Amino acid sequence: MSLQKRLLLYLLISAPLVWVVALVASAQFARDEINELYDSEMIRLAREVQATLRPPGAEEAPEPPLVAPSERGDAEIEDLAIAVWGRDGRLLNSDRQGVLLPYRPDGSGFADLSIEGQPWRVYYLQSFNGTWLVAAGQKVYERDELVHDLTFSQLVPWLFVLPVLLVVMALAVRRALVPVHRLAGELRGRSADDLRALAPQQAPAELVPLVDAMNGLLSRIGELLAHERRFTADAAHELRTPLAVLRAQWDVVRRAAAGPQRAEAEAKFGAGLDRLDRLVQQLLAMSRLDGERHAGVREEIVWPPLVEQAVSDCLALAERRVIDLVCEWPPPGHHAMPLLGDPALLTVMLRNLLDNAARYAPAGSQVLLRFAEDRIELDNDGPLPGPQQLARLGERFYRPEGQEESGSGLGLSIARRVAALHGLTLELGTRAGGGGVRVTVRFAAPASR
Amino acid sequence: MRVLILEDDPQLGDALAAGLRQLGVVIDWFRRGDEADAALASVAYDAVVLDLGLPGRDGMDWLATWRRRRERVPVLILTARDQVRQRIEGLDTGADDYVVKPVGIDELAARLRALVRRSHGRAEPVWQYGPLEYDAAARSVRWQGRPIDLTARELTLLEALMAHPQRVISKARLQEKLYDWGGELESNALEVYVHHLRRKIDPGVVRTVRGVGYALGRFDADAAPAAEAPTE
Repeated sequence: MSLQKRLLLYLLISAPLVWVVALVASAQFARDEINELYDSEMIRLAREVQATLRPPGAEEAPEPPLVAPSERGDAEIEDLAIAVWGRDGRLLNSDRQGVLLPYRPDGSGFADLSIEGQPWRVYYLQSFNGTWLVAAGQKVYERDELVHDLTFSQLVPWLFVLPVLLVVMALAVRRALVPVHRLAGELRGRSADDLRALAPQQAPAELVPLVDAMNGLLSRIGELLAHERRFTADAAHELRTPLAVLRAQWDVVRRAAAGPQRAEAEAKFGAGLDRLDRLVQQLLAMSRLDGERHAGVREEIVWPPLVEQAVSDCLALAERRVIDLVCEWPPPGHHAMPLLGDPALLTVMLRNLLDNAARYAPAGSQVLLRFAEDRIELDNDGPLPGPQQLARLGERFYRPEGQEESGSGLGLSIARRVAALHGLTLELGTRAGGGGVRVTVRFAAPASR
Repeated sequence: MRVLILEDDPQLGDALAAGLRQLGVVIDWFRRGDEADAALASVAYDAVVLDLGLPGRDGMDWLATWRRRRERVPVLILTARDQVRQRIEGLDTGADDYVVKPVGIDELAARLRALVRRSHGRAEPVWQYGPLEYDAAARSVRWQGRPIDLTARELTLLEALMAHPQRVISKARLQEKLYDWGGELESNALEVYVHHLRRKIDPGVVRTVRGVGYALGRFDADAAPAAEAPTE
């Protein structure tokens, strides 16, 4: 439900409710006032009657005069009653309704009675010497009517005002929500690549946190987008050379005469396809890894099957280049680098490292993968990179000078990314003996994480 | 046509060289800029195919160096850099053509032929000199309208001579056009090919200028070319 509808609904329900409560309360107050007024009126009446009474034995009280309807004004004479009794309960005097009042020898003060089915309020007053009993009564109906009239007179104007109030509230709510609509409109009108931050100073205070959060999201999306674009551009650039190779190799195959010449051309074409295949796979791996912040899977790593897989994948290359792949495990009783992580990703890391080592080591040399308790080391006899190259190795698509082998320049960056996802660092350096390159994978210092 | 390729990628360089050789182009392929630079200084190439993303010194650097040195050889840039800005920079630095990878061998060869044609001051694709016609794209030769069947080396030699029909070209230069860097060079090979041309086309098609080299025969109108061809 929209904020506007919700606000309106609450207001439309609560306003009449509050008003009903107020009405009931004011009716109650009116009733109290009216009771007070009439009660004191009745007391006064009873006292006046008592004061005008003559001593006993006087002549019969005259019939009370009948007031003609035309003389009454708005007064409701029939609702009032007055009666006077003697000591013996003899009715001494009463008006037309007074005869209906019951005689109560011990009556004193107010009493709510039912007379001929109608509720009456009667005030009994004893004379000082007990000679007379005066009673003044009034139909309760009279009072109720007054309360109802008063309440109704309040109700009518309010019923007329209520729709106006509702309209005004609706307008107010709409007006209060204008900044929200403006914000929504601004966002709706944007093109997909417009990631400029929203101006928080234009938003009402309640919306500032939302706008801030949205700006944060926009900037993160912007970074991601820029990254994706860079990656796509890089990938497109990197795909051109393998494609050019295939194109040229294919033209050679087409023209080659049947026989050994053609077989050689076809073999080269196959190698070109392998290269493209490898590049595409690595690009895919890289793009998948880029989206991650931590390794999604966390299971206890058992290294031997991973190494088996990675070594098998590099075997063809190693055979072609006559490279001896060797793996050393820690002495019995020691565990090879305990780690929680994603075995598939770590296999990719090992494969890329082994592939790199085997690809760039001199033919006929040895590549040694060594597991220790706190690190993995990979040695080869490859030519030592200069400090400048060393710094750039592992940069995306960077391929050092003088490479016989065609690589994508992605292998090390993929391995480094996988290592980072597992909280590991990957360092390139020279071998302890000085000859060859050593890659070390170890736990990152806690401070750097 | 002898072309220098400077391309560091082993597979691509190999494939380009193989493909162009199939089309009868004499190719020297270098993977390092300094080697190519040395070769360019010593051999008169008809064109250069230059990769830009070279390790070490960038291809653009080499191109600028060559142009500063007043090297006039036509240069075709073959690169993965596809931005308009980069193309403009390449052409403005002195390249004669800018091709973005990937490219087919046929197109590359056609572009090279066009570059060579232009560098010889010609626009027409079929070279005509008297009764002699040479179609570089089809690699076909006609003499008085009659097709002549020539081998790749013979064609290359004839092409070199027809490129400058009025000039005498030294033996050393012609040998350069015929053989790539690593090619075997027999001392009398050039003479053998000249002999073949005379036999297959016409005895007067190639003149020998003693002590200097060879030139195309002079066959304007009905002049008897044989009279000017000295015997050796």
